[in-house]
Amino acid sequence: MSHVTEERLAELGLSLNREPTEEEAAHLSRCGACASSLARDRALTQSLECLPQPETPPDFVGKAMARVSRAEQRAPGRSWLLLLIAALLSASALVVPIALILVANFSAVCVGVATGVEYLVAAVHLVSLAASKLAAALVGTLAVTALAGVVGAGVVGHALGADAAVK
Amino acid sequence: MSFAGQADGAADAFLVRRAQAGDRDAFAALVVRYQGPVFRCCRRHLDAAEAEDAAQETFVRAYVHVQKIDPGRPLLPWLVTIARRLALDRNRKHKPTLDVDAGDKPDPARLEDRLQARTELAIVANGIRTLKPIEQETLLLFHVECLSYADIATVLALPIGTVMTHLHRGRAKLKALVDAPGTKTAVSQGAPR
Repeated sequence: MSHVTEERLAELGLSLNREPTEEEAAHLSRCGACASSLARDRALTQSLECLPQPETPPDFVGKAMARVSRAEQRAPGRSWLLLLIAALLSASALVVPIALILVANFSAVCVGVATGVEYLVAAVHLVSLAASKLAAALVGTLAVTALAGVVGAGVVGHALGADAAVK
Repeated sequence: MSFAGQADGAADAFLVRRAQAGDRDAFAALVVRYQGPVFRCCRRHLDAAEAEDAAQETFVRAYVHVQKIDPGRPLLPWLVTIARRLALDRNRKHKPTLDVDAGDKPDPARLEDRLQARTELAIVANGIRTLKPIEQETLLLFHVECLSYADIATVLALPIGTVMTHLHRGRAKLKALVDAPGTKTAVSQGAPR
């Protein structure tokens, strides 16, 4: 087997518990360069694992649990406050985008409103026009009907008068 | 890696479930178990008093959100993520440094009789300060807190590949320092650190 790659040696050296494969182990037992490189990597790992670390302050657990208790007591009030904030945020999540859209497109909104008003006026005009036409038509129809009635009555009357004269 | 918390995942899951059911003693047991890594994480970014406060706040938040914890997943990365975020919030101009001087003494049973190891340890302890903050943090999360690549990636909000790069780059720099001619002599003769 050729030398164990540098990457593999680094990987093996990351932990003191990582074991090489049988083939790698056989090579390491013969190759001083690879064995030395792995030994250096493992020594570094050992040093890193032994680095002095800051100690946890005394009675850390007691103090932390005291704060936990205080947080627990505050929790109901805070949850109402959070609910209120959540409700306000939800409402603003609806209102704010609409307001932003309106502000950002103010001119377009104005044109839209004006157009809408124009359409409304036109519609009212059309309805009133249609209504007046309908009324006129009704009046015309009534007038024609009345005239026809009068004419009819005259004709009938005239005919009856003539008939009586003949008799 | 031989972190007890990982080996005791089942115990963690049990304690988390008990805490979710309202058992404060179970939660206190979790605080006992993880106070070290959480405090150390904060201490890397803050002074001792601020770090203590941030570490306690970490556990308060964990308790408030205990119902969100998935008992089937390792707890430490979740706690360290909260702790790191709190610490960084308190110290925007963070420059993580390993506080060797303020720390406790190295384990004498492991080191006392090994001058070579002590010399190398001193080089590494000083050398780690010269690394980039992200390399320092990656190395410490991996070798001191024994987090996996994936967990470190979660804590640091980085891709796993980037975590591996930082880890190997940091180690390579430290190895170069250890191997540099004259370094060991200087350290063992008590040269200024």
